[in-house]
Amino acid sequence: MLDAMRNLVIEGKNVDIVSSVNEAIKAGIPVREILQDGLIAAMDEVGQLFERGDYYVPEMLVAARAMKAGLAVIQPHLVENEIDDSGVIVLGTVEGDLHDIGKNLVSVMLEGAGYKVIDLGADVTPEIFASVAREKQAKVVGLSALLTTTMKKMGEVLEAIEDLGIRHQVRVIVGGAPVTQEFADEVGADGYAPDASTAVALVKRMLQV
Amino acid sequence: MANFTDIEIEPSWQGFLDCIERKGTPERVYFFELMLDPEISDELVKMFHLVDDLDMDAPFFDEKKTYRLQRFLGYDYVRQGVDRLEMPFNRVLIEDTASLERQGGRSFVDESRGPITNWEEFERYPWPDPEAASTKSLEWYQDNLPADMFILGSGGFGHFAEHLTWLMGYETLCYALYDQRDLVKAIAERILEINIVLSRRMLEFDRVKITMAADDMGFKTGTLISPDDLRQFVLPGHTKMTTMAHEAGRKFILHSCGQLEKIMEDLIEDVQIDAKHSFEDAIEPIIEANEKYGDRIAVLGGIDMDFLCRASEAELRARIRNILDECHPGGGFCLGSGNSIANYIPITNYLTMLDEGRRYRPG
Repeated sequence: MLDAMRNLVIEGKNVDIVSSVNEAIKAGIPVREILQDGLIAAMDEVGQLFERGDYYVPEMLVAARAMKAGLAVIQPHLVENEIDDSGVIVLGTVEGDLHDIGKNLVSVMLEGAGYKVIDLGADVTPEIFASVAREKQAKVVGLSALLTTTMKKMGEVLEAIEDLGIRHQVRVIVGGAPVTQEFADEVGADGYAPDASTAVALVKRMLQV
Repeated sequence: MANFTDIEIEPSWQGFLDCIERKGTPERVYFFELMLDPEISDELVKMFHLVDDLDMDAPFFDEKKTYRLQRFLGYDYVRQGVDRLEMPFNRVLIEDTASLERQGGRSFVDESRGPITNWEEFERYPWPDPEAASTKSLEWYQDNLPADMFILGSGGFGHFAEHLTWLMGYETLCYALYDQRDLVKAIAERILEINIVLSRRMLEFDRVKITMAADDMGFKTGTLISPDDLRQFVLPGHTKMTTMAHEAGRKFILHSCGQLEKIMEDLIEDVQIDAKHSFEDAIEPIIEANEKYGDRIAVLGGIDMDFLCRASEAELRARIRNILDECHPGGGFCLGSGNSIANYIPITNYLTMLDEGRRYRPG
Protein backbone atom coordinates (compact mmCIF):
# COMPACT_ATOMS: atom_id res chain seq x y z
CA MET A 1 0.00 0.00 0.00
CA LEU A 2 2.85 2.40 0.83
CA ASP A 3 4.52 1.51 -2.45
CA ALA A 4 1.43 2.58 -4.34
CA MET A 5 1.23 5.75 -2.26
CA ARG A 6 4.83 6.64 -3.05
CA ASN A 7 4.20 6.14 -6.74
CA LEU A 8 1.18 8.44 -6.63
CA VAL A 9 3.31 11.22 -5.15
CA ILE A 10 6.14 10.61 -7.60
CA GLU A 11 3.67 10.77 -10.49
CA GLY A 12 2.04 13.90 -9.07
CA LYS A 13 -1.44 12.41 -8.64
CA ASN A 14 -2.83 14.96 -6.22
CA VAL A 15 -6.40 13.61 -6.33
CA ASP A 16 -5.68 9.89 -6.11
CA ILE A 17 -3.24 10.40 -3.25
CA VAL A 18 -6.07 11.59 -0.98
CA SER A 19 -8.00 8.35 -1.27
CA SER A 20 -4.81 6.35 -1.01
CA VAL A 21 -3.85 8.00 2.28
CA ASN A 22 -7.41 7.63 3.61
CA GLU A 23 -7.32 3.93 2.77
CA ALA A 24 -3.99 3.55 4.52
CA ILE A 25 -5.35 5.21 7.66
CA LYS A 26 -8.44 2.98 7.52
CA ALA A 27 -6.20 -0.04 7.15
CA GLY A 28 -4.52 0.90 10.43
CA ILE A 29 -1.13 1.92 9.08
CA PRO A 30 0.38 4.32 11.63
CA VAL A 31 0.41 7.91 10.43
CA ARG A 32 4.10 8.19 11.27
CA GLU A 33 4.71 5.36 8.79
CA ILE A 34 2.47 6.96 6.18
CA LEU A 35 4.39 10.19 6.58
CA GLN A 36 7.93 8.81 6.72
CA ASP A 37 7.75 5.73 4.50
CA GLY A 38 5.07 7.02 2.17
CA LEU A 39 5.04 10.75 1.60
CA ILE A 40 8.53 11.82 2.71
CA ALA A 41 10.16 8.78 1.13
CA ALA A 42 8.40 9.62 -2.14
CA MET A 43 9.71 13.18 -2.11
CA ASP A 44 13.15 11.87 -1.33
CA GLU A 45 12.95 9.79 -4.49
CA VAL A 46 11.66 12.81 -6.42
CA GLY A 47 14.78 14.68 -5.28
CA GLN A 48 16.96 11.85 -6.52
CA LEU A 49 15.13 11.80 -9.85
CA PHE A 50 15.79 15.55 -10.15
CA GLU A 51 19.47 15.12 -9.31
CA ARG A 52 19.79 12.39 -11.93
CA GLY A 53 18.22 14.69 -14.48
CA ASP A 54 15.15 12.51 -14.95
CA TYR A 55 12.83 15.04 -13.32
CA TYR A 56 12.53 18.76 -13.93
CA VAL A 57 10.96 21.61 -12.00
CA PRO A 58 7.37 20.91 -13.20
CA GLU A 59 7.64 17.28 -12.13
CA MET A 60 8.96 18.36 -8.73
CA LEU A 61 6.18 20.89 -8.29
CA VAL A 62 3.36 18.48 -9.10
CA ALA A 63 4.91 15.82 -6.86
CA ALA A 64 5.13 18.37 -4.04
CA ARG A 65 1.50 19.29 -4.66
CA ALA A 66 0.50 15.64 -4.33
CA MET A 67 2.61 15.29 -1.21
CA LYS A 68 0.89 18.28 0.34
CA ALA A 69 -2.53 16.86 -0.53
CA GLY A 70 -1.59 13.65 1.25
CA LEU A 71 -0.12 15.55 4.16
CA ALA A 72 -3.37 17.48 4.61
CA VAL A 73 -5.19 14.19 5.15
CA ILE A 74 -2.88 13.03 7.92
CA GLN A 75 -2.28 16.46 9.47
CA PRO A 76 -4.95 16.11 12.20
CA HIS A 77 -3.62 12.69 13.13
CA LEU A 78 -0.06 14.02 13.24
CA VAL A 79 -1.02 16.52 15.91
CA GLU A 80 -2.66 13.76 17.95
CA ASN A 81 0.46 11.67 17.73
CA GLU A 82 2.70 14.62 18.58
CA ILE A 83 5.21 13.90 15.89
CA ASP A 84 8.06 16.38 16.13
CA ASP A 85 9.19 18.58 13.31
CA SER A 86 12.63 17.79 12.06
CA GLY A 87 13.57 21.44 12.49
CA VAL A 88 12.54 24.94 11.56
CA ILE A 89 14.00 26.41 8.39
CA VAL A 90 13.60 30.10 7.56
CA LEU A 91 13.79 30.91 3.86
CA GLY A 92 13.60 34.07 1.80
CA THR A 93 14.87 36.05 -1.16
CA VAL A 94 17.14 38.87 -0.06
CA GLU A 95 16.27 42.55 -0.02
CA GLY A 96 16.03 44.21 -3.42
CA ASP A 97 15.25 40.97 -5.24
CA LEU A 98 11.79 39.76 -6.23
CA HIS A 99 12.73 36.42 -7.77
CA ASP A 100 11.42 33.54 -5.76
CA ILE A 101 10.89 30.51 -7.98
CA GLY A 102 14.12 28.87 -6.83
CA LYS A 103 13.41 29.68 -3.21
CA ASN A 104 9.83 28.36 -3.56
CA LEU A 105 11.19 25.09 -4.89
CA VAL A 106 13.59 24.77 -1.99
CA SER A 107 10.64 25.47 0.29
CA VAL A 108 8.38 22.74 -1.13
CA MET A 109 11.21 20.21 -1.23
CA LEU A 110 12.16 20.91 2.39
CA GLU A 111 8.53 20.59 3.45
CA GLY A 112 8.44 17.37 1.49
CA ALA A 113 11.40 16.19 3.51
CA GLY A 114 9.50 16.84 6.73
CA TYR A 115 10.89 20.18 7.82
CA LYS A 116 8.82 23.07 9.08
CA VAL A 117 9.50 25.90 6.64
CA ILE A 118 8.84 29.56 7.32
CA ASP A 119 8.93 31.23 3.94
CA LEU A 120 9.41 34.96 4.32
CA GLY A 121 8.87 35.60 0.61
CA ALA A 122 10.93 37.97 -1.51
CA ASP A 123 12.61 41.34 -0.84
CA VAL A 124 13.33 40.44 2.80
CA THR A 125 15.55 42.72 4.87
CA PRO A 126 18.52 41.34 6.83
CA GLU A 127 16.84 42.42 10.07
CA ILE A 128 13.68 40.40 9.31
CA PHE A 129 15.72 37.29 8.51
CA ALA A 130 17.59 37.62 11.78
CA SER A 131 14.64 38.42 14.00
CA VAL A 132 12.45 35.62 12.62
CA ALA A 133 15.33 33.17 12.95
CA ARG A 134 15.68 34.13 16.60
CA GLU A 135 11.95 34.15 17.33
CA LYS A 136 11.29 30.78 15.67
CA GLN A 137 14.54 29.23 16.89
CA ALA A 138 15.42 28.31 13.33
CA LYS A 139 18.11 25.74 12.79
CA VAL A 140 18.78 26.89 9.23
CA VAL A 141 18.31 30.16 7.37
CA GLY A 142 18.26 29.86 3.57
CA LEU A 143 18.98 32.91 1.41
CA SER A 144 18.23 33.24 -2.28
CA ALA A 145 19.25 35.90 -4.83
CA LEU A 146 19.04 36.02 -8.60
CA LEU A 147 21.02 39.15 -9.23
CA THR A 148 24.69 39.99 -8.87
CA THR A 149 23.63 43.29 -7.37
CA THR A 150 21.45 41.73 -4.68
CA MET A 151 23.53 38.75 -3.64
CA LYS A 152 25.81 41.01 -1.65
CA LYS A 153 22.85 41.40 0.73
CA MET A 154 23.59 37.86 1.86
CA GLY A 155 26.62 39.14 3.76
CA GLU A 156 24.41 41.69 5.49
CA VAL A 157 22.01 38.96 6.61
CA LEU A 158 24.91 37.10 8.17
CA GLU A 159 25.96 40.30 9.95
CA ALA A 160 22.40 40.84 11.24
CA ILE A 161 22.32 37.28 12.58
CA GLU A 162 25.69 37.86 14.21
CA ASP A 163 24.45 41.13 15.71
CA LEU A 164 21.56 39.32 17.42
CA GLY A 165 24.01 36.90 18.97
CA ILE A 166 22.46 33.78 17.42
CA ARG A 167 25.06 32.95 14.77
CA HIS A 168 26.21 29.89 16.72
CA GLN A 169 22.67 28.49 16.72
CA VAL A 170 21.87 29.00 13.06
CA ARG A 171 23.33 27.50 9.90
CA VAL A 172 23.10 29.83 6.92
CA ILE A 173 22.86 28.42 3.40
CA VAL A 174 22.83 30.38 0.15
CA GLY A 175 21.82 29.82 -3.46
CA GLY A 176 20.65 31.50 -6.64
CA ALA A 177 21.82 32.06 -10.19
CA PRO A 178 24.96 34.15 -9.55
CA VAL A 179 25.87 32.46 -6.26
CA THR A 180 28.80 30.05 -6.12
CA GLN A 181 30.59 28.06 -3.43
CA GLU A 182 33.36 30.62 -3.64
CA PHE A 183 30.91 33.43 -2.90
CA ALA A 184 29.36 31.43 -0.06
CA ASP A 185 32.80 31.04 1.50
CA GLU A 186 33.52 34.71 0.96
CA VAL A 187 30.47 35.87 2.92
CA GLY A 188 30.92 33.23 5.59
CA ALA A 189 27.87 31.09 4.82
CA ASP A 190 27.80 27.51 6.09
CA GLY A 191 26.68 25.99 2.83
CA TYR A 192 25.79 26.51 -0.80
CA ALA A 193 23.43 24.61 -3.06
CA PRO A 194 23.01 25.09 -6.82
CA ASP A 195 19.43 23.77 -6.85
CA ALA A 196 16.50 22.72 -4.67
CA SER A 197 17.32 19.06 -4.47
CA THR A 198 20.91 19.73 -3.43
CA ALA A 199 19.62 22.23 -0.85
CA VAL A 200 17.57 19.49 0.82
CA ALA A 201 20.55 17.14 0.88
CA LEU A 202 22.66 19.93 2.34
CA VAL A 203 20.17 20.66 5.11
CA LYS A 204 19.87 16.96 5.90
CA ARG A 205 23.62 16.68 6.23
CA MET A 206 23.78 19.77 8.40
CA LEU A 207 21.04 18.60 10.71
CA GLN A 208 22.05 14.95 10.42
CA VAL A 209 18.54 13.66 9.80
CA MET B 1 42.90 51.64 -18.19
CA ALA B 2 44.34 51.88 -21.69
CA ASN B 3 42.26 53.91 -24.09
CA PHE B 4 40.53 51.40 -26.29
CA THR B 5 39.97 53.96 -29.00
CA ASP B 6 43.74 53.81 -29.65
CA ILE B 7 43.05 50.83 -31.86
CA GLU B 8 40.48 51.41 -34.54
CA ILE B 9 38.15 48.74 -35.83
CA GLU B 10 36.58 48.80 -39.24
CA PRO B 11 33.19 47.10 -39.10
CA SER B 12 32.71 44.26 -41.55
CA TRP B 13 29.46 42.40 -41.84
CA GLN B 14 31.12 39.94 -44.18
CA GLY B 15 33.92 39.35 -41.71
CA PHE B 16 31.38 38.76 -38.96
CA LEU B 17 29.52 36.24 -41.11
CA ASP B 18 32.76 34.49 -42.01
CA CYS B 19 33.57 34.28 -38.31
CA ILE B 20 30.14 32.79 -37.50
CA GLU B 21 30.59 30.32 -40.35
CA ARG B 22 34.01 29.27 -38.97
CA LYS B 23 35.80 30.01 -42.22
CA GLY B 24 39.22 30.17 -40.61
CA THR B 25 40.92 32.31 -37.99
CA PRO B 26 39.65 35.88 -38.31
CA GLU B 27 42.22 38.65 -38.60
CA ARG B 28 40.70 40.39 -35.61
CA VAL B 29 38.35 39.64 -32.78
CA TYR B 30 34.64 40.09 -33.46
CA PHE B 31 32.32 41.21 -30.69
CA PHE B 32 28.82 40.21 -29.72
CA GLU B 33 26.27 41.18 -27.07
CA LEU B 34 22.61 40.40 -26.60
CA MET B 35 22.13 44.02 -25.64
CA LEU B 36 23.39 46.97 -23.64
CA ASP B 37 21.07 48.27 -20.95
CA PRO B 38 19.87 51.78 -21.85
CA GLU B 39 21.62 53.25 -18.80
CA ILE B 40 24.94 51.89 -20.11
CA SER B 41 24.27 53.11 -23.65
CA ASP B 42 23.34 56.58 -22.45
CA GLU B 43 26.40 56.81 -20.24
CA LEU B 44 28.73 55.76 -23.06
CA VAL B 45 27.13 58.12 -25.55
CA LYS B 46 27.61 60.95 -23.07
CA MET B 47 31.14 59.89 -22.10
CA PHE B 48 32.38 59.81 -25.68
CA HIS B 49 30.22 62.64 -27.08
CA LEU B 50 28.78 60.41 -29.76
CA VAL B 51 25.63 62.35 -30.52
CA ASP B 52 26.54 65.88 -29.53
CA ASP B 53 25.90 67.02 -33.10
CA LEU B 54 22.47 65.41 -33.35
CA ASP B 55 19.08 66.89 -32.60
CA MET B 56 17.44 64.63 -30.03
CA ASP B 57 14.01 65.56 -31.30
CA ALA B 58 14.77 64.84 -34.95
CA PRO B 59 13.26 61.72 -36.52
CA PHE B 60 15.19 58.49 -36.00
CA PHE B 61 17.44 59.93 -33.33
CA ASP B 62 17.43 56.58 -31.49
CA GLU B 63 18.48 54.68 -34.61
CA LYS B 64 21.27 57.15 -35.32
CA LYS B 65 22.43 57.00 -31.71
CA THR B 66 22.36 53.20 -31.72
CA TYR B 67 24.41 52.68 -34.84
CA ARG B 68 26.96 55.32 -33.86
CA LEU B 69 27.42 53.71 -30.46
CA GLN B 70 27.58 50.16 -31.85
CA ARG B 71 30.11 51.22 -34.46
CA PHE B 72 32.18 53.16 -31.92
CA LEU B 73 32.33 50.16 -29.61
CA GLY B 74 33.43 47.87 -32.43
CA TYR B 75 30.26 45.97 -33.25
CA ASP B 76 29.44 45.13 -36.84
CA TYR B 77 25.69 45.24 -36.45
CA VAL B 78 22.68 46.91 -34.96
CA ARG B 79 19.97 44.77 -33.45
CA GLN B 80 16.54 45.58 -34.79
CA GLY B 81 13.31 43.69 -35.32
CA VAL B 82 9.81 44.55 -36.35
CA ASP B 83 8.75 47.35 -34.03
CA ARG B 84 7.76 45.89 -30.69
CA LEU B 85 4.38 44.21 -30.40
CA GLU B 86 2.19 45.05 -27.46
CA MET B 87 1.86 41.92 -25.35
CA PRO B 88 0.77 42.61 -21.77
CA PHE B 89 2.41 40.48 -19.07
CA ASN B 90 2.00 40.62 -15.30
CA ARG B 91 4.97 42.51 -13.94
CA VAL B 92 6.41 43.29 -10.56
CA LEU B 93 8.49 46.37 -9.86
CA ILE B 94 11.34 46.91 -7.44
CA GLU B 95 13.85 49.64 -6.75
CA ASP B 96 16.96 49.22 -8.89
CA THR B 97 20.15 48.53 -6.94
CA ALA B 98 22.56 48.95 -9.86
CA SER B 99 25.23 51.64 -9.87
CA LEU B 100 23.64 53.21 -12.95
CA GLU B 101 20.21 53.08 -11.38
CA ARG B 102 17.15 52.70 -13.60
CA GLN B 103 14.77 55.54 -12.82
CA GLY B 104 11.41 54.26 -11.62
CA GLY B 105 12.87 50.88 -10.67
CA ARG B 106 13.45 47.63 -12.55
CA SER B 107 10.51 45.43 -13.45
CA PHE B 108 10.37 41.67 -13.80
CA VAL B 109 7.73 39.36 -15.19
CA ASP B 110 5.67 37.78 -12.40
CA GLU B 111 7.03 34.25 -12.02
CA SER B 112 3.92 32.87 -10.44
CA ARG B 113 0.89 33.89 -12.46
CA GLY B 114 0.61 35.38 -15.93
CA PRO B 115 -2.35 36.84 -17.79
CA ILE B 116 -3.35 33.45 -19.27
CA THR B 117 -4.09 30.66 -16.82
CA ASN B 118 -7.22 29.19 -18.42
CA TRP B 119 -9.11 29.04 -21.74
CA GLU B 120 -11.27 32.05 -20.96
CA GLU B 121 -8.18 34.19 -20.43
CA PHE B 122 -6.64 32.75 -23.58
CA GLU B 123 -9.64 33.86 -25.64
CA ARG B 124 -9.75 37.25 -23.94
CA TYR B 125 -6.02 37.98 -24.33
CA PRO B 126 -5.28 40.91 -26.68
CA TRP B 127 -3.14 38.93 -29.12
CA PRO B 128 -1.16 41.37 -31.28
CA ASP B 129 -1.36 41.43 -35.06
CA PRO B 130 2.22 41.11 -36.34
CA GLU B 131 1.16 42.09 -39.87
CA ALA B 132 0.04 45.47 -38.55
CA ALA B 133 3.26 46.20 -36.68
CA SER B 134 5.49 48.95 -37.99
CA THR B 135 8.88 48.29 -39.59
CA LYS B 136 9.97 51.94 -39.59
CA SER B 137 13.24 51.29 -37.79
CA LEU B 138 14.14 48.42 -40.09
CA GLU B 139 13.35 50.60 -43.10
CA TRP B 140 15.56 53.38 -41.77
CA TYR B 141 18.48 51.06 -41.13
CA GLN B 142 17.99 49.38 -44.51
CA ASP B 143 18.52 52.78 -46.18
CA ASN B 144 20.92 54.51 -43.80
CA LEU B 145 23.08 52.03 -41.91
CA PRO B 146 26.71 52.32 -43.08
CA ALA B 147 27.41 49.76 -45.78
CA ASP B 148 29.95 47.85 -43.71
CA MET B 149 27.41 47.05 -40.96
CA PHE B 150 24.44 44.69 -40.94
CA ILE B 151 21.10 44.38 -39.20
CA LEU B 152 20.75 41.60 -36.64
CA GLY B 153 17.07 40.77 -37.01
CA SER B 154 15.94 40.43 -33.44
CA GLY B 155 13.92 42.07 -30.71
CA GLY B 156 10.57 40.81 -29.46
CA PHE B 157 11.29 37.75 -31.57
CA GLY B 158 11.60 34.01 -31.00
CA HIS B 159 10.63 33.98 -27.33
CA PHE B 160 8.98 30.58 -27.61
CA ALA B 161 9.76 29.28 -24.11
CA GLU B 162 9.81 32.73 -22.57
CA HIS B 163 6.41 33.71 -23.89
CA LEU B 164 4.94 30.49 -22.54
CA THR B 165 6.33 31.33 -19.11
CA TRP B 166 5.53 35.03 -19.32
CA LEU B 167 1.98 34.52 -20.55
CA MET B 168 1.14 31.79 -18.04
CA GLY B 169 3.59 32.52 -15.23
CA TYR B 170 6.29 29.90 -14.73
CA GLU B 171 4.59 28.17 -11.82
CA THR B 172 1.27 28.08 -13.63
CA LEU B 173 2.99 26.67 -16.71
CA CYS B 174 4.59 23.92 -14.62
CA TYR B 175 1.18 22.80 -13.33
CA ALA B 176 -0.45 23.31 -16.73
CA LEU B 177 1.98 20.84 -18.30
CA TYR B 178 0.13 18.28 -16.18
CA ASP B 179 -3.35 19.75 -15.88
CA GLN B 180 -3.95 21.70 -19.12
CA ARG B 181 -1.60 20.51 -21.85
CA ASP B 182 -4.11 21.48 -24.53
CA LEU B 183 -3.94 25.08 -23.31
CA VAL B 184 -0.14 25.05 -23.34
CA LYS B 185 -0.27 23.67 -26.89
CA ALA B 186 -2.71 26.37 -28.00
CA ILE B 187 -0.53 29.14 -26.59
CA ALA B 188 2.59 27.64 -28.18
CA GLU B 189 0.83 27.48 -31.56
CA ARG B 190 -0.30 31.10 -31.29
CA ILE B 191 3.23 32.22 -30.42
CA LEU B 192 4.56 30.34 -33.43
CA GLU B 193 2.00 31.93 -35.78
CA ILE B 194 3.09 35.39 -34.62
CA ASN B 195 6.78 34.62 -35.02
CA ILE B 196 6.40 33.22 -38.52
CA VAL B 197 5.08 36.61 -39.58
CA LEU B 198 7.81 38.47 -37.68
CA SER B 199 10.50 36.31 -39.27
CA ARG B 200 9.09 36.74 -42.77
CA ARG B 201 8.85 40.49 -42.36
CA MET B 202 12.41 40.84 -41.03
CA LEU B 203 13.82 38.67 -43.80
CA GLU B 204 12.25 40.95 -46.41
CA PHE B 205 15.10 43.37 -45.59
CA ASP B 206 18.26 42.17 -47.30
CA ARG B 207 20.51 43.89 -44.78
CA VAL B 208 19.17 41.54 -42.14
CA LYS B 209 21.99 39.04 -42.54
CA ILE B 210 21.20 37.10 -39.38
CA THR B 211 18.08 36.60 -37.30
CA MET B 212 18.36 35.88 -33.61
CA ALA B 213 15.87 34.42 -31.18
CA ALA B 214 16.27 35.29 -27.53
CA ASP B 215 14.72 32.54 -25.48
CA ASP B 216 15.95 31.51 -22.05
CA MET B 217 15.22 27.81 -21.67
CA GLY B 218 17.30 26.84 -18.69
CA PHE B 219 18.51 27.71 -15.25
CA LYS B 220 21.69 26.85 -13.38
CA THR B 221 21.48 23.06 -13.43
CA GLY B 222 18.89 22.14 -16.05
CA THR B 223 16.19 23.13 -18.45
CA LEU B 224 13.17 24.99 -17.08
CA ILE B 225 10.81 22.30 -18.37
CA SER B 226 11.72 18.81 -19.46
CA PRO B 227 13.55 18.25 -22.75
CA ASP B 228 10.53 16.28 -23.98
CA ASP B 229 8.22 19.20 -23.27
CA LEU B 230 10.67 21.59 -24.92
CA ARG B 231 10.70 19.30 -27.96
CA GLN B 232 6.91 19.41 -28.11
CA PHE B 233 6.16 23.05 -27.34
CA VAL B 234 9.29 25.13 -27.94
CA LEU B 235 11.88 23.66 -30.30
CA PRO B 236 9.52 23.39 -33.29
CA GLY B 237 9.30 27.18 -33.18
CA HIS B 238 13.07 27.57 -33.29
CA THR B 239 13.30 25.00 -36.08
CA LYS B 240 10.82 26.99 -38.13
CA MET B 241 12.72 30.25 -37.53
CA THR B 242 16.04 28.65 -38.49
CA THR B 243 14.54 27.09 -41.60
CA MET B 244 13.07 30.42 -42.69
CA ALA B 245 16.43 32.15 -42.17
CA HIS B 246 18.34 29.47 -44.06
CA GLU B 247 15.86 29.39 -46.93
CA ALA B 248 16.43 33.13 -47.28
CA GLY B 249 20.20 32.60 -47.28
CA ARG B 250 20.68 34.04 -43.79
CA LYS B 251 22.10 32.74 -40.52
CA PHE B 252 20.37 32.08 -37.23
CA ILE B 253 21.68 32.75 -33.72
CA LEU B 254 20.02 31.45 -30.58
CA HIS B 255 20.49 33.36 -27.35
CA SER B 256 19.41 31.17 -24.48
CA CYS B 257 20.51 31.21 -20.87
CA GLY B 258 20.79 28.24 -18.59
CA GLN B 259 22.05 24.69 -18.62
CA LEU B 260 20.89 23.29 -21.97
CA GLU B 261 23.16 20.27 -22.28
CA LYS B 262 20.21 17.88 -22.63
CA ILE B 263 18.92 19.69 -25.71
CA MET B 264 22.15 20.87 -27.32
CA GLU B 265 22.14 18.01 -29.82
CA ASP B 266 18.56 18.93 -30.73
CA LEU B 267 19.57 22.55 -31.22
CA ILE B 268 22.57 21.72 -33.37
CA GLU B 269 21.33 18.75 -35.38
CA ASP B 270 17.56 19.26 -35.62
CA VAL B 271 16.95 22.98 -35.13
CA GLN B 272 20.24 23.64 -36.97
CA ILE B 273 21.22 26.84 -35.25
CA ASP B 274 24.37 28.48 -36.60
CA ALA B 275 25.49 30.01 -33.33
CA LYS B 276 24.62 29.92 -29.66
CA HIS B 277 24.97 32.84 -27.27
CA SER B 278 25.06 32.96 -23.47
CA PHE B 279 27.61 30.96 -21.56
CA GLU B 280 28.30 31.47 -17.87
CA ASP B 281 31.08 29.89 -15.82
CA ALA B 282 28.73 28.38 -13.22
CA ILE B 283 26.90 26.51 -15.99
CA GLU B 284 29.35 25.85 -18.79
CA PRO B 285 32.52 27.90 -19.28
CA ILE B 286 32.94 29.14 -22.83
CA ILE B 287 36.19 27.21 -23.39
CA GLU B 288 34.44 23.93 -22.57
CA ALA B 289 31.49 24.87 -24.78
CA ASN B 290 33.89 25.67 -27.62
CA GLU B 291 35.62 22.31 -27.22
CA LYS B 292 32.29 20.46 -27.24
CA TYR B 293 30.36 22.29 -29.91
CA GLY B 294 32.84 24.58 -31.68
CA ASP B 295 33.31 22.26 -34.65
CA ARG B 296 29.60 22.47 -35.51
CA ILE B 297 28.36 25.90 -34.38
CA ALA B 298 29.78 29.25 -33.35
CA VAL B 299 29.83 30.00 -29.64
CA LEU B 300 29.41 33.62 -28.63
CA GLY B 301 30.11 35.67 -25.51
CA GLY B 302 31.14 33.81 -22.42
CA ILE B 303 32.85 36.39 -20.20
CA ASP B 304 31.05 35.50 -17.00
CA MET B 305 28.79 38.31 -15.80
CA ASP B 306 29.77 38.02 -12.16
CA PHE B 307 33.45 37.95 -13.12
CA LEU B 308 32.95 40.95 -15.37
CA CYS B 309 31.42 42.80 -12.43
CA ARG B 310 33.98 41.95 -9.82
CA ALA B 311 37.32 41.18 -11.47
CA SER B 312 40.29 43.53 -11.43
CA GLU B 313 41.58 44.85 -14.75
CA ALA B 314 44.55 42.47 -14.68
CA GLU B 315 42.33 39.46 -13.92
CA LEU B 316 39.91 40.44 -16.63
CA ARG B 317 42.59 40.89 -19.29
CA ALA B 318 44.27 37.61 -18.37
CA ARG B 319 40.97 35.70 -18.55
CA ILE B 320 40.04 37.26 -21.89
CA ARG B 321 43.45 36.46 -23.41
CA ASN B 322 43.12 32.89 -22.25
CA ILE B 323 39.64 32.58 -23.73
CA LEU B 324 40.78 34.12 -27.00
CA ASP B 325 43.80 31.82 -27.18
CA GLU B 326 41.45 28.86 -26.90
CA CYS B 327 38.42 30.02 -28.88
CA HIS B 328 39.62 32.46 -31.55
CA PRO B 329 41.62 30.07 -33.76
CA GLY B 330 39.54 28.77 -36.64
CA GLY B 331 36.75 31.28 -36.11
CA GLY B 332 33.36 30.60 -34.61
CA PHE B 333 33.83 32.79 -31.55
CA CYS B 334 32.84 36.37 -30.78
CA LEU B 335 33.93 38.10 -27.62
CA GLY B 336 31.29 39.38 -25.23
CA SER B 337 29.69 39.02 -21.85
CA GLY B 338 27.92 35.86 -20.81
CA ASN B 339 24.62 37.62 -21.26
CA SER B 340 24.34 41.38 -21.73
CA ILE B 341 25.86 44.61 -20.52
CA ALA B 342 23.48 45.15 -17.65
CA ASN B 343 23.46 48.44 -15.80
CA TYR B 344 25.25 46.90 -12.82
CA ILE B 345 28.37 46.05 -14.82
CA PRO B 346 31.09 48.66 -14.23
CA ILE B 347 31.59 50.54 -17.47
CA THR B 348 35.37 50.49 -17.05
CA ASN B 349 35.31 46.68 -16.95
CA TYR B 350 33.15 46.54 -20.04
CA LEU B 351 35.53 48.84 -21.90
CA THR B 352 38.48 46.82 -20.67
CA MET B 353 36.90 43.72 -22.20
CA LEU B 354 36.50 45.48 -25.55
CA ASP B 355 40.00 46.92 -25.33
CA GLU B 356 41.59 43.54 -24.69
CA GLY B 357 39.67 42.14 -27.65
CA ARG B 358 40.90 44.95 -29.88
CA ARG B 359 44.50 44.44 -28.83
CA TYR B 360 44.44 40.69 -29.29
CA ARG B 361 46.36 39.32 -32.24
CA PRO B 362 46.28 35.63 -32.99
CA GLY B 363 49.63 34.05 -32.25
